[in-house]
Amino acid sequence: MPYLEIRKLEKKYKDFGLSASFGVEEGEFLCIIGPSGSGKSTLLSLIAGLDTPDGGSIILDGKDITKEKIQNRGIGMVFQDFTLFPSMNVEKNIQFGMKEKGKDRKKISDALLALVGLEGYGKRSVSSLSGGEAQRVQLARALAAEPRILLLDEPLSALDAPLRKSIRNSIRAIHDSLGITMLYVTHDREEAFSISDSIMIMHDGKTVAMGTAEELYNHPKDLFTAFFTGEGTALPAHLVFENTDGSMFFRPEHAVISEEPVNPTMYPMHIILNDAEIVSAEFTGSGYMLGLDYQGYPILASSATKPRRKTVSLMILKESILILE
Amino acid sequence: MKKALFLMLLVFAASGLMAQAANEENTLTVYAYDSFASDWGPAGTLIPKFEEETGIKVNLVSAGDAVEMISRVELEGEDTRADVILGITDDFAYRAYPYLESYDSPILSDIPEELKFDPENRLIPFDYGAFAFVWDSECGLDKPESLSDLTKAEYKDKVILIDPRTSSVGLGLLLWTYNIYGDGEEFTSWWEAMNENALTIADGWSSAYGLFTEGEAPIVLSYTTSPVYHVMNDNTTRYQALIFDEGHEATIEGIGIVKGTDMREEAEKFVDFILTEAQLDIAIANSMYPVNSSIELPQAFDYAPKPDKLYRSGATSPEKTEELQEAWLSIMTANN
Amino acid sequence: MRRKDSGYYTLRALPGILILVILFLIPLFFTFSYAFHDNGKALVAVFSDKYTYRLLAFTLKESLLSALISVAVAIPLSSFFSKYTFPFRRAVLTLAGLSFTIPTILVVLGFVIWYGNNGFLNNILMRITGRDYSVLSILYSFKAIILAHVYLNFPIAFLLITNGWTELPDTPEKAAYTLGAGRARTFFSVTLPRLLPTILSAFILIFLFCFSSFSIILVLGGNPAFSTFETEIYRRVNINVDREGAAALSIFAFFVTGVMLIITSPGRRERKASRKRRVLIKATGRKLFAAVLLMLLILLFILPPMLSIIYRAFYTKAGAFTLRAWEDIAKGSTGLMSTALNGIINSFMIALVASCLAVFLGSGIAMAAAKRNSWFIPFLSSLPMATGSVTLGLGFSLLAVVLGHDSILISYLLVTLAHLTIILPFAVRTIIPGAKAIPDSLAAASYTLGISKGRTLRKVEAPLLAPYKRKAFAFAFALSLGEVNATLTLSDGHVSTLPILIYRMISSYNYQGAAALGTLLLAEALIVFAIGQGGRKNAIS
Repeated sequence: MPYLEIRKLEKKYKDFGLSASFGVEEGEFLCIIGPSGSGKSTLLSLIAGLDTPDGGSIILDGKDITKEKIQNRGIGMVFQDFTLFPSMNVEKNIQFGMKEKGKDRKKISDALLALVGLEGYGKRSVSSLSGGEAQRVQLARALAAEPRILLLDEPLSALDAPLRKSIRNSIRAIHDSLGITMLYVTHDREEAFSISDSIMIMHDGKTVAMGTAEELYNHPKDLFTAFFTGEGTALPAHLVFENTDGSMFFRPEHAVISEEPVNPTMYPMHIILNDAEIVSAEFTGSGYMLGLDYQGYPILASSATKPRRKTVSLMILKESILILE
Repeated sequence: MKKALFLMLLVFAASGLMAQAANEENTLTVYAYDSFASDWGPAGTLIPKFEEETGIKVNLVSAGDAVEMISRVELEGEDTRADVILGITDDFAYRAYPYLESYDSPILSDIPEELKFDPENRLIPFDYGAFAFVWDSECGLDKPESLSDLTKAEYKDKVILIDPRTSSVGLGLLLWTYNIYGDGEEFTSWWEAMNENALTIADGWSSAYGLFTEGEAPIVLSYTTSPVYHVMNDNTTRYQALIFDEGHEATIEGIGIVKGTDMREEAEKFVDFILTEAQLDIAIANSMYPVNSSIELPQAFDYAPKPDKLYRSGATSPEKTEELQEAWLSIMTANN
Repeated sequence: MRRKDSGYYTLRALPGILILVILFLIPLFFTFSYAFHDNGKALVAVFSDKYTYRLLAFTLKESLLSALISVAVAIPLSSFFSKYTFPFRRAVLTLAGLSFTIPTILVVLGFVIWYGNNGFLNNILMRITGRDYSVLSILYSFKAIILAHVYLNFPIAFLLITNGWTELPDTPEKAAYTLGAGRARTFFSVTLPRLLPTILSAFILIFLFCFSSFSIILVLGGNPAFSTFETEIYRRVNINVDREGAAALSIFAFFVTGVMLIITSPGRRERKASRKRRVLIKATGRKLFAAVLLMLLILLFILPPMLSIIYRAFYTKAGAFTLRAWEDIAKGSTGLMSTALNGIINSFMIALVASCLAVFLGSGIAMAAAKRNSWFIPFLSSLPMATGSVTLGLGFSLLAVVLGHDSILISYLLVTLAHLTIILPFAVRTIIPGAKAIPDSLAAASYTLGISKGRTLRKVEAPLLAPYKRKAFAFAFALSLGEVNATLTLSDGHVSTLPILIYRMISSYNYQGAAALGTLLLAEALIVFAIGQGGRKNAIS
């Protein structure tokens, strides 16, 4: 039985409905990703108890906490917004939710500040902190309350890229050293891939897929997941395979470019698409991402070199092609 | 913070307790207007004196002005705690009569007939005053000798009037002009002219007289007794009441015993006390004339000449009063 | 979205609302019920009388104009005061609140002494120009009404808007400047919309005060054509004893102010946390010079009428120095040495207790209103303001009759509660912008740390309200300090406060004594304000 189990959790709004069922194991790092408006933050609010569900249940460590008060759930949260209490300094913020009394409080808050990389920041006022520092303090504050699960709601979305990278690494490091279960909401797939044990994808208030990053990238179960986990091309399947409905999907790295026309009979393991016109070529550092036009369909392919010719052929390994609905 | 607040409340409550002990059963409850009942009013010395002489405890309730006092008695009806009400003016007397008992006091014989406005003696006059214009004799203008003198062009912006809609003094002037000019052409033209000559029309006597003493205008509507204060306190006779041969509007204040009181005897003693021993103190404090003709007034009252001819405000019916107010308003706002 | 914790905050608001219902709504209901006697004849008469609409037209004109000018004058000043810090900044802000404590009669006197035809200003100008008649005739005209109203109410606009503006982060403005928007355009399209709730709040407060003003309008206006509803209601209550007509007119006025309140009630809006608060810039060089100039202007407007009162407490009209007024106070005209002292203590204690309670209950109401995103709660709690003082007084006298009691303790209690009813709306209105500025996510963050709602309110949210609460306290205290009618009505005259003593002094011709008492009143308010402000070094004020 999972440590945190969400059973048929429902929440209805005027123009949006959420329904979710999933489980998280103890010590797991689960990323929830999805486009904005997909219900990620609502889901976290429901789990934390900031909002009341219309149906379903939330079970934490074998106990139904659906009706439990927020304060008694033992669920910590790091918010996207600045939620440090302006009336207290950094240290007081961290100590606010601590259960310990006396001298220990100071020791623990110092230790937590060290953990998030902000030694000596205790006496600072929160309005003097930079965005990244503020989020680190939020993290330390949430941890100080010794939550059973920590929810992080797009904690890094307001920060710039290098900062995001360094903080997300420390979040993962903290997770590993404390062994705390974390639910991490983001709309950034790269962030999700790099940080999580497993990923859950949400779309229009529903969970559409769940698995490890590799599973979701390599074997998406539907087109939405396929596109949300990375770039790729979807063509109507009947273009290539007779009597097949749906779309054929492949990643750019599985499409090999040939500047000479290719005879399909020579390559039975491949699908050959001749006469694809190059529309764009974008330098990615390690190579080029090509945008091609094949009979009016756009195709993405990666190539180590920049082709000299305008028209090329594509070779795609059959077993790397997915037929998706 | 909370603790401090609580402490303050305690201190506050204690100071309240010290201020006055709760009243006992057997006391005579008197409703009076604020300026009488306050510690600075005549009550401050009179009530202890009365209590000492008669052994009757008095609970003095300041029930606002005359109108508020009547309203209160009306609202309380049978349950009213009042045994005596003091300070009902003759113009509102008709509203108080249903709640009062007659009392043919032995002192009545010392009060001039023309002041006794209630033939049934439910309200007995205890002091009276007359409205008059007070002027600054050093202002360099000619002394006005009559109401119609005031309409002369030389007094433009020199007169401070009071609104009859918000002040009994203002109303006094309105009724005064009605008694002299009637409600026709003369009345209208007098007020039209005064609309020109008035510097302002104040909301009440307090602000009007304040403007006057600040020197904003040399003539103000007030009482014939107003100069007394300046003589007694500023030692100056510069401010004088203008006595007009046409006569003056008078206001008479009465005292009465409330119907159904179970302290009739004590109430009678109180009324008699007000009509005799208290007369001088009240007259000085209120700047009014005593009704008891046996009272000797201090010298300063020489500067408060008694007009020969008096009109009683109570003689005008309330319906007429309202009609006059409306006429007044349309005259005064005609040009705007 | 309705927050989960709104129930708790509503509960906290209940005591305040309950007091309002008992002390205000029930008496008001009885007062209004007079209008329906005789099948509502009086009501029909009022609604079909042309004079009612003439009154309405003037009252609206006078109060809208006063409120508009007060706000318009305050905005540029607030803009400066919410941007820069400089010496005496807080002292000026403190002084600005003072004009609020002075009873109307003394404001009139102060105005006459300063602006009057024979006043200081004219005397100075006469000496300069060498003329022997008054140079400036300011008083006794429509502009005098507006001047006095702006004088009395400008501090509301100035203090509230400065407060609100200081709380606004200035990043959007900076963004606008980088986009090439000029100062004016930035102000109107970026700052103003964000500041609007605060401005509206100040505007409606001033509007309501001016709507029920009448002494100033009559005396300083100088013409009965300048009559407000309140004049007419007063006449019907106190001169013509037409309770039905007064009630009918009150309902009409109440209806108008109620509509104004609803129109200006702040709408729903999203609250986002802002990380950075604005840091005041130290004014130097030309800015410092501008600061000095602005402060001088403000003081030149605010102080003279007040100083005139103080001057009159020591000097006679003829200009001779005298301490007689003070001797009068010390003696009391019948030898009661303690009367003035009693008045000082009573005024102070009643104002202190009432305004502490008002701030406490008011912040409960304001928080509930913010959490529920409700317009109804602030509307309900603003109603006593929408009711003129005459109507309010009528309600209180009804209450006094119903409660009929002999105990001085109950008198004190009732007076304090009545003051509370009068100042609570003010406190609520002042605190609401602060409550609205607190993002919901702060409480949410606290709850997820396992902190109870009560502790969250106390430790996280309440400190953010503090500057607003201090402002509310100062206003409430000032308002209570100047209150007269309810105090007289509900205490049977047994509770003497300073303004009551002032009126009593005046009715015994002692204007100088009244000025001396007024000086004491100002001193008392100043001390309390200074203590209230001085307590916090970081106070934004």
